[in-house]
Amino acid sequence: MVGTMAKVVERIDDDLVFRARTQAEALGRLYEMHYERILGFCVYRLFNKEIAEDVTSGVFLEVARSIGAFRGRTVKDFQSWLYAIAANQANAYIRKTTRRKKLLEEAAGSMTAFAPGGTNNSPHWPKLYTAILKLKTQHQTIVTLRFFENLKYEQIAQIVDVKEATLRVRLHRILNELRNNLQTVNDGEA
Amino acid sequence: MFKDESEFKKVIDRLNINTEPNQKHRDDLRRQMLCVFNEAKQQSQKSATPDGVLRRIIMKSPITKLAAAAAIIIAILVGLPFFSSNSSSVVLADVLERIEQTRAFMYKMEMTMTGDMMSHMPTRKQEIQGTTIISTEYGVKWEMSVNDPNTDKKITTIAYILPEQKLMFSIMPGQKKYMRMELNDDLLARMKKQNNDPREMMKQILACKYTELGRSEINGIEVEGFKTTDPMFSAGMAEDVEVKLWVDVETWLPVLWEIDMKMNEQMDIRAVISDFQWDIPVVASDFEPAIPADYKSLEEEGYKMPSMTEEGALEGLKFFAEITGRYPKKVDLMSLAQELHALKDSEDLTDAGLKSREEMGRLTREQRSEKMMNQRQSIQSLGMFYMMLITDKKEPAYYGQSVAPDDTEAVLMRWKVSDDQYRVIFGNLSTLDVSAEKLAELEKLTPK
Repeated sequence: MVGTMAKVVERIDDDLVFRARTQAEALGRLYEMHYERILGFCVYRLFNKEIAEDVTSGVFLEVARSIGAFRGRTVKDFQSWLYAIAANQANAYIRKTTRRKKLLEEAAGSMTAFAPGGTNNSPHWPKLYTAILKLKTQHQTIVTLRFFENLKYEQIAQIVDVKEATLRVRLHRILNELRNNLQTVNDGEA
Repeated sequence: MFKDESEFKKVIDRLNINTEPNQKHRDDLRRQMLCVFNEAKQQSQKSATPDGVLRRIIMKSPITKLAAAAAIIIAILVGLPFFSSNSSSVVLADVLERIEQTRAFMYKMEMTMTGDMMSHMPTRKQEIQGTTIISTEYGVKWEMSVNDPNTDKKITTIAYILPEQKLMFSIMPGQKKYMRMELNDDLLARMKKQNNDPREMMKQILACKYTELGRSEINGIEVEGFKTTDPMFSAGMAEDVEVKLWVDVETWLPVLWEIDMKMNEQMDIRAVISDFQWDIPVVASDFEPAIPADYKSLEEEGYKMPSMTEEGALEGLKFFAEITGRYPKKVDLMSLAQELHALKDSEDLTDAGLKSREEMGRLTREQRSEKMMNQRQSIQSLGMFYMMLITDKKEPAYYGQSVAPDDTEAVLMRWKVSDDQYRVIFGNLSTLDVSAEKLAELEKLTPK
């Protein structure tokens, strides 16, 4: 009985997506289910909580405007769509701002990162963030979705609109580039 | 430095990044989002209707302007009619149409019964929680749990009504027992009407008097409320009734039911029906009873289902008269259960009744349980038959309080069988079909 009910509940979530196109109550429920997730994503992309809240607001307001035309069928489709909007809005913010140094300073101040044993092989977070910011914006998004949001390849591929096989190859190359960037940053050429 | 993906993941996992949400931001954004959503919806509707009239607002206005009734979903008992306004046929049609678009839905129910209970649960308060799923395609499934105050354990029952197969299953996992019942067409039609399917029940709407409660908000949903205290709502089962229904003003579907019923002097019932989920996706396997191999069938243990027939009712009356020398004072299920419970320690029994009780004391626990089940079954048949007569509007009447078992000319019970024909059960349990005129004469002679 519990298993059966659980299956029904899963399908209720998918049904929420369908109803959210026209029903405020359903949209409200989807919001509650995904607010923290999107805020987290924005924090990882922008490393300033206030800015992350602003961008999160932009994301959900865009959802409210566009959900009527959304044609996804499952909650997974909705999540992918949501992340795509969040990625675009975060990227737009980063492109617009010229205050990258300010972002880095704030990230260094507001985030506490710890490295085990203080070894030379553990990157400091502001340097890691600097290295990530050197990547193309789409690559930054991929890194965030894979390593901060812990999404599966299949879903990331849907969000960034590439084939999964292409994504795997791309991520391998991204990590190589990130490693090089980090080396450059460590060598003092930020 | 990291060598590969997994090492890089470990680096990231060691970071301690604060993503704790700000509740104020969360709440403010929700409100703002829904506001934008509603504006966008209105805008899109406006652009779809060039004359600028928002059809949905017009369609909605009957609910706000005419204070119409809405569909009722009750997960308890049977045959509770919906209420409506005499002047609200248009609104009911709108509501019915909306509900008829729903192929499957579910809801939760919480019920508290306060007072003297059934014979095996002599407590002051009983709480029942349940979830019901209804599908036009597959049937009904519900799971109900009740706390047994004597053992403090939860007793759960899972039931299925399967119209396609004309079967009903009731499974009791705690006792590892189940019951399988075949439904004939009449019983199936009755169950379809009476088992909380609002589409069926909307067709049986009885006019009840109601008042508007105006607008309110429940869990962020704007609702309109209605209230009735019309006893007809409970089809005569309750002495006093107060029902509040809250309807989503956007979807025209129920959001919350609050039902308070005073069944008799000893018992009150409060039920809250909530958490409706409409248009839920269901599949056939959701309605397949899962009965483990080691479960025993109640039928194999001698249990018989109460029959909602005249024969069953006569059996019940006969049994009661044999052990007490009189008939039950009332024949609603609650009162019957209470009277039966009261007999347990009563000295006011016939010789046959006293003998039966003595024999019961000598039986094993299992034998006693089986015998009690059969006794309850005949009494339940009487109660359920009478309840069926009420819900089918057969104008039943019962005079058991004043009619004795040997009274050959007094009307014990009667009901309508056709326009001018009534079936009469006399005090000696003989039966006769009489005209309305003849019935009037007989009832004049019947002590009240």
